[in-house]
Amino acid sequence: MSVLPLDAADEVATEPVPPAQRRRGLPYFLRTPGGIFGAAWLTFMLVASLTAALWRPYEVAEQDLANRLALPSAEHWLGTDPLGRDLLSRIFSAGAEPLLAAAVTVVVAFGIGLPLALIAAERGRRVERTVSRVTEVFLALPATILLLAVIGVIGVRTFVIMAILGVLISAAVYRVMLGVAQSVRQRLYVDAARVNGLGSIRVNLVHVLPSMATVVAVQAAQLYGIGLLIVAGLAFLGFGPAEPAPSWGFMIQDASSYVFNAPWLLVPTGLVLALTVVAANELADAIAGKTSIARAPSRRKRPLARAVAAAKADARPADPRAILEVRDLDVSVDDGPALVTGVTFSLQPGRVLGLVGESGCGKTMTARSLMGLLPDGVSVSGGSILWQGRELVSLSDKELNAVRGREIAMISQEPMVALDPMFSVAYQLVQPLRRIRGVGKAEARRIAAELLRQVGIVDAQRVLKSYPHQLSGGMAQRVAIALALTGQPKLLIADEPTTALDVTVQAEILSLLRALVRDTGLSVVIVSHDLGVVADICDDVAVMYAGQVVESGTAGRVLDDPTHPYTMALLGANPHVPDGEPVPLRLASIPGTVPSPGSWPSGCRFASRCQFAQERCTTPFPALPAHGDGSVLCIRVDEIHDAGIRWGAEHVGDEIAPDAGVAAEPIADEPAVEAVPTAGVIR
Amino acid sequence: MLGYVARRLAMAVGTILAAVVISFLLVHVSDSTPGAVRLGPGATAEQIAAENEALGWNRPLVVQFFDYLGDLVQGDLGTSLIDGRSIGADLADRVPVTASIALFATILSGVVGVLVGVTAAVRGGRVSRFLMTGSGIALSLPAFWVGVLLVYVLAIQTGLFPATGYVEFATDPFGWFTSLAIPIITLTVGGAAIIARTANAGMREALAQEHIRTLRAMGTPEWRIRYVHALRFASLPVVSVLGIQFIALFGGSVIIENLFALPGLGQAGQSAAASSDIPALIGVVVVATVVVVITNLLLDLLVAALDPKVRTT
Amino acid sequence: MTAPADTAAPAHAPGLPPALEIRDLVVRYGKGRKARQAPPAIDGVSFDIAPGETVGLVGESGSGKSTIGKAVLGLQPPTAGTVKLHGQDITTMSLKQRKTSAADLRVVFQDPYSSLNPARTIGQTLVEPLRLMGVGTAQAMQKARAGLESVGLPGDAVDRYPSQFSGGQRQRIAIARALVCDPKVLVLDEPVSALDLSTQAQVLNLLADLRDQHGLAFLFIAHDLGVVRFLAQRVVVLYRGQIMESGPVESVTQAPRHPYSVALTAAAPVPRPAEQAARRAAREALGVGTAGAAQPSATGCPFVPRCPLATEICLEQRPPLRLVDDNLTACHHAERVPAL
Repeated sequence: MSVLPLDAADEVATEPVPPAQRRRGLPYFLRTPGGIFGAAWLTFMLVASLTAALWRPYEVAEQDLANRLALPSAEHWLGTDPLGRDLLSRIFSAGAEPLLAAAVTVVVAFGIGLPLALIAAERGRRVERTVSRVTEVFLALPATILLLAVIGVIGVRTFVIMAILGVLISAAVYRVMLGVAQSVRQRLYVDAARVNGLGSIRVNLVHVLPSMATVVAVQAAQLYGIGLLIVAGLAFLGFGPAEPAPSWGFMIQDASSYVFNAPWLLVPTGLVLALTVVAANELADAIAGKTSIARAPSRRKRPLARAVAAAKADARPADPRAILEVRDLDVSVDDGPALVTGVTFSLQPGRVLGLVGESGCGKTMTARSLMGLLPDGVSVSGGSILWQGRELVSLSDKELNAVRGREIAMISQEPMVALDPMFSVAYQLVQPLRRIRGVGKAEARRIAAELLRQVGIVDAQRVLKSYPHQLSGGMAQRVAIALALTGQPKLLIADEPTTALDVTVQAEILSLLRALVRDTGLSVVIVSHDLGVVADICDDVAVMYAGQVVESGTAGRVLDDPTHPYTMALLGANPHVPDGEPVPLRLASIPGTVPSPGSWPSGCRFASRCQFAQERCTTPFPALPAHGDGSVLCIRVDEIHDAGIRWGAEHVGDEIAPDAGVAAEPIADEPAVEAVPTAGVIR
Repeated sequence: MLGYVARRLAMAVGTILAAVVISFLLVHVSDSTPGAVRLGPGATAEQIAAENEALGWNRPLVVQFFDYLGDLVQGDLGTSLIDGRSIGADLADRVPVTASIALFATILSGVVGVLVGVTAAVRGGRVSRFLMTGSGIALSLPAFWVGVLLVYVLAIQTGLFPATGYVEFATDPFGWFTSLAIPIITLTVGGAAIIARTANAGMREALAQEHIRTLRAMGTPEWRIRYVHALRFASLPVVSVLGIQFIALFGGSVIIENLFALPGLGQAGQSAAASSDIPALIGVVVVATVVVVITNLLLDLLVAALDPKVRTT
Repeated sequence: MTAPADTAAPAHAPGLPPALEIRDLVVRYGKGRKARQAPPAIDGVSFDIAPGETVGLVGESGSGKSTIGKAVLGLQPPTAGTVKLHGQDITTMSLKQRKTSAADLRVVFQDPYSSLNPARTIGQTLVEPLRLMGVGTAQAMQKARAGLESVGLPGDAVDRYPSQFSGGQRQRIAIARALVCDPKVLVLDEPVSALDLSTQAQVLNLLADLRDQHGLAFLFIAHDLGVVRFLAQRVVVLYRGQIMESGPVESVTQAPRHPYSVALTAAAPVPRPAEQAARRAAREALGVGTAGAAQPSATGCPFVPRCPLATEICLEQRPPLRLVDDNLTACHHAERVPAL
């Protein structure tokens, strides 16, 4: 009769189910086998138990002494008990009490716990603390033993006892629901409703509770299962309906004394009880939408990539100066759309290359493919990545591991979560130092301190002893850079390294990176959406749009004299004008949004948003050389250049013309890009 | 840190007080009186009244409460209404039985659960489906049913362990071990399933963390990523659930003790409840609460040792 | 610390009260001894917004800019100071009272994903404030459609759910929700920070259009000086809950008179490599200290630990806001602040 711990609430999405999904036909949780089984079995049990008196073949106390402890037969489908009573009739006649009493526990526990959680979440810290202290005391009380005490005092009154259990469990419900309610209340739509003047009760009813519905349903179903076990457990101990009235628990108790000579007796009742609890838990899992099954780690499709790489490897002469050469790189979702196609660029030692573009353009996928660190279910599907003359695409994960950290290192966007919160900075630096440089512990610690000083940390000894949560964002990014330097790499891949940082901290980190490039001859591939960052640190730039490089060349040429309309538009949309230039009255903007992978047109992928698009832009065409060593992917590039046209800002007032936004930005019938399954992949 | 310890201790005392108050109130709102219980159904109303007077039942509630508290502080839990034995001495014999079942079952649940949960998270695919579906079913099975099934398989069919009964450790250590084997395995079935789910969810969350990608990018060997970094991250929820498990097993061992005829705390609670032995009931509640409170304190210390965020703030 | 009367004296018709007037605002989080000892989140902030004017509130994370927005909206009760809307004191007015008395004040939040309730249709979201103002259902729905059209979305979007819209479209819907009540003052809390560059430009242009057409006053909270420079006429620079500098946007961004404004301006990169190199050199020459260095002294200027110009007096005396050139600056050494 152990009171099972309720699953932690944060495992369950608190986002309400997208209504688009909800409105069509069956509720989502009835589309999984577990959900169907759970709902069907519980419904069946409830109906069959409540109507048992109408259909049962025998009365519950009717004894067939000739047929005692019988196995299943035509007369007794499930067999008989030691007194020859029909098990089928008794099992279903006994069902109503546990099924209803467990519901009483659930209703009482939520009736108390949920409102308390809503109030505590709304009223702020003081109320929350008081309520939480009281519930902590409740949680520490031994529920089962207290229930026994209650029985000792009031006797066997199952529904009252289960209601009291509900009171005890309400503390656990409160604790789970408080966290959920607090996180829902942090959503801005709650604040927006409050600013509108919506009253407190209606804010809770309209905006907070519906967002908690999933968690409530999951927890309620789990608690129901626990309640069933407890009712049956009490009856097993003799605290249930008195003989000859049947109860599941006592029938199992009864069976246990005949286990030597009639083991079958154990099966029907136990199975029905177990199935009912399994049903409640399966339903809970289905509502939670929890796939309790982890994906098998994907085996990368090396043979295919190898073939493609081999086919293309000698198509063009290799750039002898390049340390990294990427050719016709394709990255795709396995059995799904391409995310990156035909990306080509090269990088010389000691130079910084920027991959720039909006979100969903494939910059991060390109950068991650360089180290073979694509997310599960995404892989390189063609092209080649030549690193110091060595083909990386055809390497196995194990072979790549020898390159990672030693030759190529990476820093990422969120420095605060890039470091392991459970280990000190010293541990995280010393461990790779010992592994890669093969030095002793003391020596590794000395190098770690030196690396920290190299990345501009003055009090290295104190930082070494710190844990990541004790560092500021800028400090954490410095530590992450120091970590990347532990293996003395030749190439650093920096994925939006300053996006999460304040602008003054960003400037410091960029200066640090520049100093590293200057002092150590490091090459850098930096991913950024910010053209200012690119102008600050990059020697070369590749502008990406919808999985392609649309323009590339030296940073000076591309940014000062853009030839692709998308680059022009991005520059026009940037409100940071150089000193001395007036701020435009309206910014250049690009109508619509980046098309999602899988919906790219065959011709120019930018055509539908381009001010200069013509009929011929819709058929495929190759990239043209531009900016010296660079390229541009626009068939009208010369015309646009010769005519000297720039990407224009919209006229004032255009934007709010009734159809302007509509024509340009069709509303998807399907959820927007962010919601399609590949979402995690694109970001 | 001192303030923290003081606060935890105050909470602990508050919880024990709450347990005493609640059981006291429970007892006094009921119709049954200790006199009636002691004298049995044959007694007249006058006899019962006189007995109650003698037991001090008619004194003001507050006086009785503080009397009880005073005794409790000195370790005196009173005497049983049924057999007049010292409740403290009786429970002192019983706590080790329950504690050893709960402790061994918790440890075994932890080991099996972590193995299953982590394997499922790391292997993925079919293995994961099999292990996690199995855990989902295992945690739904009623312990008393599983217990009887295990008796059938392990005692009756194979004769590996005795079906029921308890052997003192002092008389026969091996007999003691075999007498506890089936109860512990029974409790482990459900316990390990819960730990497996927690460990699985924790491990999968851990492996999806950004800092795991940082480690991959450094070329860190896979075993180190999994079993040093991810496992450490996943250990926090597992440890808290293990603590809850121990508490639940300790308080909930009554069924197992009944089933296997083990002289533990739960059995005392059950017989006291069945015979309305009020002082014995309060004693069981108080002792169980003390154990819970101590477990919670230890758990807090363990979490603080594991989680640098708790340790350093 | 009362700001001189002309702090916020932008050009507006004499006699007309400012659209929004903030005086000596102090916000402390939490209660009790610990909270009183910690420096307040907002420490004596005063400024005005004239009708039809956009004031940018700029600062880095932890500067308290969003807290000011919350205090103005009544989501975070101020510890001291006053907030007046069109001359009416709304400092302690409850959210419910504001429904009728401060209906002129609305908000657009930063995150377009969490600012719309995913379980409610766009129509339900837009109608909610109108119904609370007592507008009938049919008329409210009509207004909701008109509101959507005014932000460039089709009126029939009312039947759809937020998940069917992109980030930029959702932010337009959030703007429409603020606009349906015909407000005079909008608090824009980082309305474009979560958007991509091209979408950000769309939304900024839309805001500029709406301001010009409806004569709206904006309290525009942002961390990006470039964005502020595009939309705002005046700007208030915030550091650790205190105003460092305020004044006309061109003057503060082009000729700042406070070392922190200089640091902030110089750190924002421009997309021209040659010019950015010059800015970078200028910034590095400034010698501004690393953020998150030592805690500033309670009595002096909060910027001291990072300031290259700091002297003894900066540690002892908190500099009052004073007029230097066109800007109000809280710096003892405003005259020595280098040009960009």
